[in-house]
Amino acid sequence: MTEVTSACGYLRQMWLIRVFEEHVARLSKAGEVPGFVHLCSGQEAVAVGTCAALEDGDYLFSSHRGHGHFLARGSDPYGVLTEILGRQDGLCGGYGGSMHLVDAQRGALGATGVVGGNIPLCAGAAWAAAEAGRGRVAVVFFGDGAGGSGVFHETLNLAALWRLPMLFVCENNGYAEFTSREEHSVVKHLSEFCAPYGIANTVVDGNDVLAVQSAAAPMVAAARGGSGPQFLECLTYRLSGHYEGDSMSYRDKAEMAAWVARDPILRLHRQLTELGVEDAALARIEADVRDELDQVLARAVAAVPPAADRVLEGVLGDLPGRESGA
Amino acid sequence: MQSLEQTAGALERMLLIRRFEEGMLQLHRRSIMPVHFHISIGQEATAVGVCSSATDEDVIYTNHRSNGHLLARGADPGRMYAEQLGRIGGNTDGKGGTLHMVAPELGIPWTTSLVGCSVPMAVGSALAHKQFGQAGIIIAFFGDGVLEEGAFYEGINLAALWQVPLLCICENNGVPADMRGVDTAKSSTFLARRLTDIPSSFGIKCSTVDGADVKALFGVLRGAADTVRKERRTQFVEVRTSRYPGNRTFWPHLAGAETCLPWAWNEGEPPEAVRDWSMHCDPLMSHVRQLLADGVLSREAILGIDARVRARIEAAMESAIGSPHPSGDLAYCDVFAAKEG
Amino acid sequence: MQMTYLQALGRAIGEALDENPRVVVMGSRFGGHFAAQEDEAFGPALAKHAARVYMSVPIAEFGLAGAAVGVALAGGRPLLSFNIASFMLHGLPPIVNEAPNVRYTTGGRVNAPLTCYALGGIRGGGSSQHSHRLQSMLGNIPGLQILTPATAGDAYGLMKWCLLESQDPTVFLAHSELLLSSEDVDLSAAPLPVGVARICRPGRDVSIIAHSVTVPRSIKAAEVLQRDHGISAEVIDLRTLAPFDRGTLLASVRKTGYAVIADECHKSFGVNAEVAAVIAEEAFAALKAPVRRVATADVPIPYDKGLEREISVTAEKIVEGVLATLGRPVGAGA
Repeated sequence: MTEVTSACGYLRQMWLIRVFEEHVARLSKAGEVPGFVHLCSGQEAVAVGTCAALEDGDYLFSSHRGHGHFLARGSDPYGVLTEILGRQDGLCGGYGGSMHLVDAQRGALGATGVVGGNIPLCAGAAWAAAEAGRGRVAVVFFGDGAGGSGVFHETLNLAALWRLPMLFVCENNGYAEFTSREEHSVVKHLSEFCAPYGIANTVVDGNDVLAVQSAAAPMVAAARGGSGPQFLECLTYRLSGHYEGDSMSYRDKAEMAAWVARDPILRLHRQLTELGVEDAALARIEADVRDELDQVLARAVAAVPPAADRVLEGVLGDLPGRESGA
Repeated sequence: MQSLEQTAGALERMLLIRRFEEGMLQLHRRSIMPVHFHISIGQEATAVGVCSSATDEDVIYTNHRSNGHLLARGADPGRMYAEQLGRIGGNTDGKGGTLHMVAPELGIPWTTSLVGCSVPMAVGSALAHKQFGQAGIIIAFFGDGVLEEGAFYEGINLAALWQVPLLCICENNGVPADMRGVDTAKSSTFLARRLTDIPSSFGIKCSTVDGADVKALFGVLRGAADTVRKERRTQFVEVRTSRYPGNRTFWPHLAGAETCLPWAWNEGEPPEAVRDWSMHCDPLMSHVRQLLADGVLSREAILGIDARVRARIEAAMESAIGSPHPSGDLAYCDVFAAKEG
Repeated sequence: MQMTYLQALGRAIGEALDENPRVVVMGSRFGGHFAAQEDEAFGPALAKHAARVYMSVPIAEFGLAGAAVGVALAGGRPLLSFNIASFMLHGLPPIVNEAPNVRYTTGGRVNAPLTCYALGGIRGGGSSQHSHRLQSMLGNIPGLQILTPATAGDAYGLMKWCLLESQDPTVFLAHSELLLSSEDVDLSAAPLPVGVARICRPGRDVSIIAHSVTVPRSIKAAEVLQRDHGISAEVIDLRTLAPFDRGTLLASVRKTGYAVIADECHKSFGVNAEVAAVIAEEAFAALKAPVRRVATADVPIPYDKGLEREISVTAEKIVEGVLATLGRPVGAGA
């Protein structure tokens, strides 16, 4: 695949995530979404660039801000959207919601509502992958807020100790919920915690999808090749609030404006233009995505809710003599 | 430069800890000590060095290996034995026991046995001292294993963010003899090459010192305590000691024989089981040899201090053994401040 | 004075900060997603006492919970907010394995008067990880006080008690659905006695025992029972689970002979189970029918609102529970 073709593929994926999140934002505002959503608008390049480096069979662990991770990994947008809306066709049948997406077929073993909660889980999957010997890698996405969490540090030690085939991807967007990085952390980059353990680490511009992919690919290869865990820190920014409905009173307008100018989609547009791709072709990519998602939206809002009569099932697996439900 | 009183006092305190712990081993051998316990033989100088730099207003957090810390702070050995045995007259009359040795009147209000848990609490108390303008600093003793626990990171991050007067004393007590003088680590459970790399990555000022080199140790500890007191910011000291042979098994035991001070001037030889350790790793022996070499104390004086200490320990032990067990109704007291109706 | 539960909390905290220089506020938010209302209710007091407020903190529940214990051990009176109760699970060791042990283990020599605040409960779309009701789990920890006020007035009184009077560790569990509930609060009333339940609706025919969010739902159920079935239901608001008021509970059950427990915890091993056991042990002779428990089904909380409603404790389910207990036909009017 040529460089241009791949890059156009990344553009398409980023548009997919961007437009998807726009739809989710509108649905949330209209009261159609049962719970709260945490949108990744502005952070698309991290998901797309990283997932571009993964192969079939690799594991992915996401966070509360995970719609983009799943879409970048190839999850069906209809399955993701219906899950967010709590419908039967959702990835989890409407039982999980925005923060509990799972797409086991694509190795996406889960999102979580617990900041940093998936970091040790990813280590476990990486450990299992190493034991199975099939050359799989496990990647976990988390934000800078996870740096305050003890389990992040515990897992750095474990991953290094056991030389796990694991990629830590920090989406450093400068905020932990409503608290800025300066207030919640004494370090600028979480990757600074890697040195004591000898974990290979890099910091990249998280809004340049080509840079993310270029950094992720050799790291994934290294982890797969037995070099132990790798840490990729992507500096990015979320254009939306911590959750939809957050007034963002804690954000500085000038800061926001500066990052809007560094929008990852605009960035790739410019790069593709420099590579000779015409505006019309770029516009068509966006238009195709909008068409596709318009149809997904129409189907999703019409999708049926899950049947209530099964709500007590599936708590525990089947065992002789075990009753389910209350 | 320490005065004679300070020097003799430091030796006496170290001997007090040593003989107390040997007494614990004796109680275990005699099947009087009812449960598993932890001794700090080989770590005496750390406790004494830190506590001699402490003021009455300081607060101390210790752990399951607490006897040295309490004795260095001035706790009464008789009460401590009673507490270890779960008897009336113990620090909590037998409610806490070996894992919760406290001495609130000496600034040791609460001792946790959960590895890592003391650091966040120490940070909080240091925050309170800063907040309410209390003069004392907080001293937290903990082992190297604490750096494997997430709670440590959460706590140290808060300490760095809040800038609190906390002195962290990390007792790395499993260092091979030939590595005590350097700062690198080698662990099967923790990968950091240097323990201090971890708090350093949070911007905390660190130092590392050989826990058997008493002169150097005391100097570093005093310096760190003074800095915390002056700058009101967190400092981390890693003290490296080599494990007492009797502490290498699950149940602590006496390795070879009780410490015989004349070994320091080559009168008699330590048994095989403890010879190398006594020669190269024992801070007490090393201190005695140093005192003699510097002409600070004579052999007679040193033996005299030891005799006094041993008498005190014997009396403390007998008194504790003779103390009654708490009566059953004590089990229902002090759940809450007010009794439930 | 008319005020919401959230405003009552803000007021109590502000007054506590004014009255005792040892009160310190730490942690995360108090009002969950009601950010604007929280800023209005809490903002001025927290700004006034900014030097004692530590609310720009990392996501470090264990570290912060431990720190709050340490503040209390050093003479402070901290209030630590975890925001959503589920997050307390990350800070559990200091809350359940340190603070509650301090007084007892030191033989009364030391105490740790900290208050942990969180928004518990099924909030609508919270799914499995944001919907915890921790009071039953925490209720099994001796040495931990647990308060679950259901009204603005009780929230005000109990929060002030926590911050100014309490001598022991306390978990204060609010509920998202209660935050904007409003009533006339008598600010000059005597301090709320802790460990005293409240009969919020006297009745003759059945005792409905509730706490937190099941209080308003039980009151609604009682209205339906009266209107549609002529049943006079007495509703008890437990208010505090530890200390627990057995006296009011047993007196009511002895009077009515029927007990229906409405509990938002899961049924198995829930608060409902403890209440039922107390009634069975001490008022068995008075019972004319077995105790009935109306509680959340024993499943992780599902996301879709229809599913959530299916497994939750609704006013309808409480009505059904009462009718079944009294041997009345369910699903039809009187």
